[in-house]
Amino acid sequence: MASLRLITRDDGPSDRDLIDQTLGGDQAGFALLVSKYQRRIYRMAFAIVRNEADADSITQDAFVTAYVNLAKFEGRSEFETWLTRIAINKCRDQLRGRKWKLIPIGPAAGDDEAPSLDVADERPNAEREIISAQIGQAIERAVESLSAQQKVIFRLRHFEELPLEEIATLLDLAPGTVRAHLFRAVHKVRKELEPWAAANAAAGEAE
Amino acid sequence: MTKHYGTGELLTHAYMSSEDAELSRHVAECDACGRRLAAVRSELERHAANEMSPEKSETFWKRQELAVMRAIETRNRRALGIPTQIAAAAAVVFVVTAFLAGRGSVSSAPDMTTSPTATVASVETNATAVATQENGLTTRQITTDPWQSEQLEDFQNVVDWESWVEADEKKRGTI
Ligand SMILES: [Zn+2]
Repeated sequence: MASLRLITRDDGPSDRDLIDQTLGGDQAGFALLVSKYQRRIYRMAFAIVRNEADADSITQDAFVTAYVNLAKFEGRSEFETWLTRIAINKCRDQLRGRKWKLIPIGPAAGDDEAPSLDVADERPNAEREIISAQIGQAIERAVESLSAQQKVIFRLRHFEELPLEEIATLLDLAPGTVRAHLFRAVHKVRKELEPWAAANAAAGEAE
Repeated sequence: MTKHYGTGELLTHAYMSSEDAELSRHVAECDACGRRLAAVRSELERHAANEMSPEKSETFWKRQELAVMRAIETRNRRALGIPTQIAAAAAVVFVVTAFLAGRGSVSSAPDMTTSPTATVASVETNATAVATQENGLTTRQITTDPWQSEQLEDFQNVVDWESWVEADEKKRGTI
């Protein structure tokens, strides 16, 4: 009996049922879809646009667009994937139109004040703090110079920790294209790390 | 002396899930590099976690859901409102045309419902009605784009999308 109850509880209406209900004129079906996916869409939108108000507005907008196009949804992908694609497109449009504020520039390459990463340093906490400072700043500075597409890919990888294949599916791109974009993005982060890399190399030679 | 890997190389390895066998073997054997790769990975996770959106309350989600449903409802009302006038005009045109042709039959205006399918159909009806009106009677013309009206300003994104559809259909010659 317990297992029967469990099955009943988990066996709610499928996305397809809710879509059909909506297309039949009952908007309660769509409200359930909103309630089911709004958290994921908002979280992902925030990961990309990095602003709560924009993420909220993109989430709402994505659902309205999905509703308007619902009759065209053919079910070739999951509804969630389709909805996420709509939201990602809106995020990309948002990034393309946004004027980014400049992040204060940290130590430049060759700057004497660049902290060195001493690989021989046996104090894990000190090392950890240096890595922490490097990476946080490098990411924030590097991302500013990325294209909208690269930002979307990098942020989905960094903040949502999505595998490359999933990012490719969501963006409807070949995995190789996503890999190339991500590589360029990571390369820019690495460029920002160069001051420390140089100091690191010097420390290594001195070892 | 063994070549150690720099933070940049370890960072690429962490992001790209690379299958660099040499690097993998080295970090497995070298304490310093293994420790730094772990620190890089952990720092990436920490940075991502720290930069996440603050937890939202149930009120936030409810408000967001209501905002979506309200926007949809407003859109449906608009779809029922503006095209209804056009549909009524189309019905008048049809009646007049039928009367002049001596057929004398009367047809009702197209049925308008609020489902997304019907909404798309109503927009198409709208466009057809305008075309019929322009072809049949020259006394009344609709020159303003209702999507761009002041009342619909809040729905600019939807309007943009609709305009895009219209442009696309124009290209295919259906409007
Ligand atoms: Zn090493």
